[in-house]
Amino acid sequence: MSNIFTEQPWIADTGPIAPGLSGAEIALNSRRSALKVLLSVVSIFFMLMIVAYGGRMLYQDWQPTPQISLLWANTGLLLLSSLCLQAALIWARADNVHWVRGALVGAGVLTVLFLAGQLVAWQQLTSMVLGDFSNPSVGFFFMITGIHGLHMAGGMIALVRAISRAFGQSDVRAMEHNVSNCALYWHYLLGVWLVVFGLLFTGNNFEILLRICGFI
Amino acid sequence: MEHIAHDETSFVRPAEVGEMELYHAKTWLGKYVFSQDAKTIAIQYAATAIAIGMVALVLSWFMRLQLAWPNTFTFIDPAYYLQAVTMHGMIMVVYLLTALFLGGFGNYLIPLMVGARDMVFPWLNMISFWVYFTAVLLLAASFFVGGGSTGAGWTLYPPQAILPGTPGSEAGILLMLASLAVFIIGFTMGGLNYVVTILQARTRGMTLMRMPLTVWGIFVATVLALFAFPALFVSAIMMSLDVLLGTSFFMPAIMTMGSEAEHVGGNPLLFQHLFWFFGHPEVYIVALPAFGIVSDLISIHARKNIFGYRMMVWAIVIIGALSFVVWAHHMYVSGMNPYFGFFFATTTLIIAVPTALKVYNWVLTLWQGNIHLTIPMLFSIAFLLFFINGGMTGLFLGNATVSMPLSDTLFVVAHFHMVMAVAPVMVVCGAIYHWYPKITGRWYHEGMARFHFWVTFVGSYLVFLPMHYLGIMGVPRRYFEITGTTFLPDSAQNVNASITIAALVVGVAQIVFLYNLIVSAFNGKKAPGNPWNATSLEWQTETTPPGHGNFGKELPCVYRWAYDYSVPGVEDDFIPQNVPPRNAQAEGAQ
Repeated sequence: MSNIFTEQPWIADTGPIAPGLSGAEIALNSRRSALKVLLSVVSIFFMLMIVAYGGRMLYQDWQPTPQISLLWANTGLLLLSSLCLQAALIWARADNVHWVRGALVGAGVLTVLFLAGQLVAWQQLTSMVLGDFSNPSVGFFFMITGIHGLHMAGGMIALVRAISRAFGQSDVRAMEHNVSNCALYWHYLLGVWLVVFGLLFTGNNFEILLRICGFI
Repeated sequence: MEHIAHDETSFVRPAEVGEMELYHAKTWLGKYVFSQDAKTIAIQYAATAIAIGMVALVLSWFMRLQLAWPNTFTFIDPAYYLQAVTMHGMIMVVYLLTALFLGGFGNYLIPLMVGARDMVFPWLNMISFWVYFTAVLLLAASFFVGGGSTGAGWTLYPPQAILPGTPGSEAGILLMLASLAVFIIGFTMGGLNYVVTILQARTRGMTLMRMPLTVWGIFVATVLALFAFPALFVSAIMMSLDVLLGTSFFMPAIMTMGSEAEHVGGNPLLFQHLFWFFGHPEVYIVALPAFGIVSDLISIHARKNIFGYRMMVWAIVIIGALSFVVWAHHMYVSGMNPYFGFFFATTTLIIAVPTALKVYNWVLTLWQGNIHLTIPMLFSIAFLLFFINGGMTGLFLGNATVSMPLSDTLFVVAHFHMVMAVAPVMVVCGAIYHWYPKITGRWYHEGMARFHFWVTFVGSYLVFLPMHYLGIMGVPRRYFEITGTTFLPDSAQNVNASITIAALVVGVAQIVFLYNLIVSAFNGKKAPGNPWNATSLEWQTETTPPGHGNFGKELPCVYRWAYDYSVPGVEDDFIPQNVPPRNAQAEGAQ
């Protein structure tokens, strides 16, 4: 079969149209594809913020963000919510509707707790710096956690829809697509959070970040 | 002549999946306002983009009036001038050209050209337009708030952009940043649609390498935009936080108006890097759809297959990829490590290779073609003449050492207007004239169109060619007035005045253009379904304008590329993409 490297499009078809070009591509889940494209865009978005953070760390007047231990607990909550969605996906594939519903609700509750925990962390940091946001690392903290939180909140819209559909129907196959997309999104945002949390907010991981950014 | 017989029934396998379910609007609002039909959305995008673009055109007149006859027009003070410069630039680049090429042409042409009923996510597509419309309203609102719109220049460099003393440093800059953020959200929705539709909703037989170059250009530009706009989004958020919360992402410790600002330790250069990481791909977000469209226009109106199709596709892809590693050539005067400058100068000049290949291929397509000097062809040739000129001066500015003295002069203004303003606008005009009979089912007034072409073409050259000379003389850009300088001869002022006269005339010609488009849509002569004898699928629709769902009961099946023009041995000088070889053969093909 020809591909974009070898195809000679100026030659008209002289045989049956290849299966790959006869509708099979349309059968792919377009929502899944759109989600993957979206996650690529979001990756660039977070990458730019991390690179900007790393670039700013190079300056001698850099003052790291004060430590907030609550973030460890919040990380645990996000990890659990992601695990719940993975479990929901496994149970959906095993036709276990009851457990799918439970796992989806569990993921939703844990995510709400995560977001609430992040807000508490914001309050803690605000009081630690006495409301002075001029330290760039503090500004980055609010921005990166805020944008990550907004992405989680946006994901909640899809999760709530998946939950309502799971309770409104008993066809597991039909709900599998939704659960699968939610799981992918949650795992991805968990990954982003682990990178962001690990690199930026668990002490002053100056060297690791600079190495990753290619500055040293 | 070789004969290959085909049985059409074995030639086309049945579709493996059912067609997408179309949403059918039940109300007038649903059909014309909150429409989910990509064609209607395209027209909404185009109308909004052109409307706000006309505002930007008027702003350019104000700038030119001041430069030609300084201090004659009392309503143009220095602050107003800078606001006009800023808003003109941002509107034209983002809100007109990006929206028009991707939202306008993308929405209209992608589903039709790849043989799809509609975009894969029609509802999201509709939302995308309304988010864009909101962004335009936010931007327009900044004209009316206290302090007016921002006057920081379209690059919005901090710290100047948000410091007191800069026009619009209060609400104006915030509205601009909010508008950009909203625009990007809207675009991302649209962009997902364009990419997934092209990748997954092509009709049977429409391989990627059989797609018309228009679709390739829009596709790669969309990918660029999806990956480049986040940088602008991040910088808009960071600058907004600097203004609203007193963070110091970009704002260094600084004295302003005699007192110390609350910021400490921000890095203005960080903004420049982020801005240009978006800003340079943005040039190609505008240029690549233009490259694609003009390839199709040239091929159709020269009745010849595009020269080097595969090379054209890969050139688009390579230009797109390279556009992400050249951004710092906009920052030579900001100061950088010389090795850094060397790297960016090298990558910048490397981009000239695939770009030049494209130019050669356009010229070689014209070579010995059966050139029809239709309006779209005239605009295509004009595009070449502007693009080659602007591209050549790009070689000057890509070199760090040559760029330094020319930076911040009118030479730069002349260069980028030639290469990424007027050249793509030529394609926009050519494309509108080309697809107008399909979109409206009617012909435009040929005389008015020719008037529009000649005045725009000659007038734009009269505006931007002399500007190079002014730039080389050292006339700075963004200055309210240049009188009283010793290094400029009086003739510089005369040139400035002549440029302004040309700009005003070109502007008036655009009014004739719009008048022609609007009036002809109702009163124009009826146009046939395929007036240009073109091969691509949008010209093969059952009805003109295409109805909801684009094609008839059956989606077309594609057997060939979109460039079968003047095929030897075929009676007609074109073979549509959906004509099987057997049928073409009956007419003498192969």
